[in-house]
Amino acid sequence: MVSHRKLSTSHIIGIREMSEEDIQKILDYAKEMKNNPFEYSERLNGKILALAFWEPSTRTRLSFESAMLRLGGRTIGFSSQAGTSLEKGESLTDTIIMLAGYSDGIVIRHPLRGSAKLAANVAERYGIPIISGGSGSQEHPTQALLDIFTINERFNRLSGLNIGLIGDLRYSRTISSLLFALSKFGRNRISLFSHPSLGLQEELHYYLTNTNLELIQAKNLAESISELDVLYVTRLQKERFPDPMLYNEVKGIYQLRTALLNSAKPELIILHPLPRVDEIPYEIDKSNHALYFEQAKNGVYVRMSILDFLIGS
Amino acid sequence: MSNKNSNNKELIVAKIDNGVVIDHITPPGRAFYALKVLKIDEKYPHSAFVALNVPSKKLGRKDVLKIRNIDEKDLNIEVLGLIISGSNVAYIKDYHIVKKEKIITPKKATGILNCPSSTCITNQREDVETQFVVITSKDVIKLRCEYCDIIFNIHERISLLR
Ligand SMILES: [Zn+2]
Repeated sequence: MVSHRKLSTSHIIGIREMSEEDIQKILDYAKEMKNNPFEYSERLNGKILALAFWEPSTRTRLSFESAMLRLGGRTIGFSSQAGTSLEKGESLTDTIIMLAGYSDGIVIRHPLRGSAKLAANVAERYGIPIISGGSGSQEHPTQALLDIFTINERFNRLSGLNIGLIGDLRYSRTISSLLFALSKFGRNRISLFSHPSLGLQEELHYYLTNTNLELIQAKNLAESISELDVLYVTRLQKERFPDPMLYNEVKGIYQLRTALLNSAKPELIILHPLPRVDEIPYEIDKSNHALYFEQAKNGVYVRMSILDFLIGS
Repeated sequence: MSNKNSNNKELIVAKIDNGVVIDHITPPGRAFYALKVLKIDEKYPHSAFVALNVPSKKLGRKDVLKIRNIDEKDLNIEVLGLIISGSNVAYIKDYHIVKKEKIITPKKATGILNCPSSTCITNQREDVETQFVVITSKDVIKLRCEYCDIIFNIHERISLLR
């Protein structure tokens, strides 16, 4: 039976500031929940989770909603600015104060960096936990937790792995959080496949020096795929490119083709935070490498674990 | 014509009756940043003396600032710590030093400057005080925003100081 331990933090703002122990607790509890989901169906009876989404989101919002419902709780919230008091210019601070009075925990997604931290500072005064569902290009901590949960589920370890990251590495909060997470679990070798204008944020290099991560700017996926244990694909966003011609030119290079997988290790797993556009062709879905839908499903268990830690008693 | 025993500083800059002398400003050129931060310009009602590139036995070259009649409360030592760390301030009354203070780099900077990032929540109309961690290496002083994580060189973003 589950021993329900406390985390050392009362909010989930970003992975960078989380301890390895807290991350491990969340993963372990998520695993127990995945094995016996129905044992937890009354954990958050009578509790209300507020979903405050200043940016549209389908996956993250529905995944949190599903997690809360599976724990016996309920949700309230909004999922864009249209038709709310936010459109009238209400501040984040005021919105959080209001939601702290309506709920037992708040998930926030906001287009600006630092938003989750500010929300946590405000909600702290009311004893209400904040969970970031993405703060601008900064971090998306629960995504990273479900990513490493999925990696750990397959490999039974989070170190000594060769991991390739492909696509938009610059504006992807998912990538930032994932690198912070991997940097806490021993040696991992990270190959970066990206267009020069979409390489890692400079700050990330600063934060990741003196960690065990080995970062390599890789040239060509075809040459390196045979070494990889994990290939993490992100979506190229057309609007991020200074020139649409460049986007069309570059797009093909970062598309995964079935033939490429011929030289991959049999145990290679392909992950994607979803939604995908055309980075991964449908035919790859049927291969044993494709794990992105399982990854998305794991998001529910990981979020259940987090919600129970922060809201449950 | 040798003046090796005379005081170079005095040849260049007069003694002041009341105000402050900020000495040992290095590397040379940082005195300009200090003037900007202290809002000393042609509209300042009293005299201010700037000595640049003054030879110094200990420091090689340094700057010296003498500002007449500046109020102690207008000298924000915390802000100066980000700009001219390592320098010394002497408070002068009737040609005498009444107090001395060393300017040191603070570990944190709270509410004294804006964040340079347009995508940072602290630049919105929110109930929030900016917060930066100071990262120093030699003469370079960088700040990291505790909210958005951006890292920048303070001497390149001097106008952010309030
Ligand atoms: Zn900032």
